[in-house]
Amino acid sequence: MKDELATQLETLHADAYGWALHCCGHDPSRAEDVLQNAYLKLLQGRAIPSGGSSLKTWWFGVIRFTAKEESRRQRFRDSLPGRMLNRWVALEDLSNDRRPSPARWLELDERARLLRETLAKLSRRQAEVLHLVFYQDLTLSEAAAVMTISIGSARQHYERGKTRLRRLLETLHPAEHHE
Amino acid sequence: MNDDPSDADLKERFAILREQESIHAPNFPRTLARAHAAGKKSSTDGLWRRRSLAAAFIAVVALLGLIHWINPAPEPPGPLGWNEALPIFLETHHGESGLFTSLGAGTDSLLPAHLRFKLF
Repeated sequence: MKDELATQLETLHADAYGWALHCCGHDPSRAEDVLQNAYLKLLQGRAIPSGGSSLKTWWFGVIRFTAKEESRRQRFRDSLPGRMLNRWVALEDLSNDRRPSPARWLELDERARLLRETLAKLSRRQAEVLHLVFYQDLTLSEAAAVMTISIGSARQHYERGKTRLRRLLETLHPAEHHE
Repeated sequence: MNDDPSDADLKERFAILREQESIHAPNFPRTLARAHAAGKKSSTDGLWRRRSLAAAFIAVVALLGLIHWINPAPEPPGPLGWNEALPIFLETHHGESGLFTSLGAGTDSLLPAHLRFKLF
């Protein structure tokens, strides 16, 4: 990997991890795997930066696609044919429990956890666009490029998501919302 | 879009979430090194996996072939030709009058010679 690209990716690394975490349903071990696989694609030349969009937009698109692939593989592994194949070919070490520890969850600030739980109640697209705009500080057009949808759709998801998020925060935790 | 004043509360919440999650972000050089190592390992694992699946597929095809060779499925009966069907039909309808006069002139020339006398 070229030094300049590596340097740019290093500056994006923490944000990329946050995005991978969002794409993996906030499962830290899966997010690490997805991020690692995304880097692997880059190393193997299977993902090449396109000149059309910014590096961050392109990289987040790769991570999102990689998370979808990993999610499909996980669904197969969890299915009956997948479990039978696992036993026969020993595709992975099933004894490794990868769930985050309770202590890990307690480390999160209460407000951060509340936001995460409320975001989980939104539709996938609404949660994605809100994450990209507010968390990753992208513009709507950049968020639309990452999500591979039109800017009109992105705007619609953004507005509806924002309205619904506020209503949920108000309804579920009125004391928190009015602090 | 990001400068709407009414979004300040949401921005603050997301900023807290971002700060919390970035604490647990894996180390960049370590992640890159693990990706390197995973790349080397996956090419070896993938080869053995493909070989195992190919061997299983060949075994299943060979087994099916062996079963078919030992006990082949019977040939289904095909449609009867004119020479086979007509005697059966005549035996079935022997003695029915008027059955073949409606067929019209020239029909008897279509019949095999040894059957013609049965009609007239």
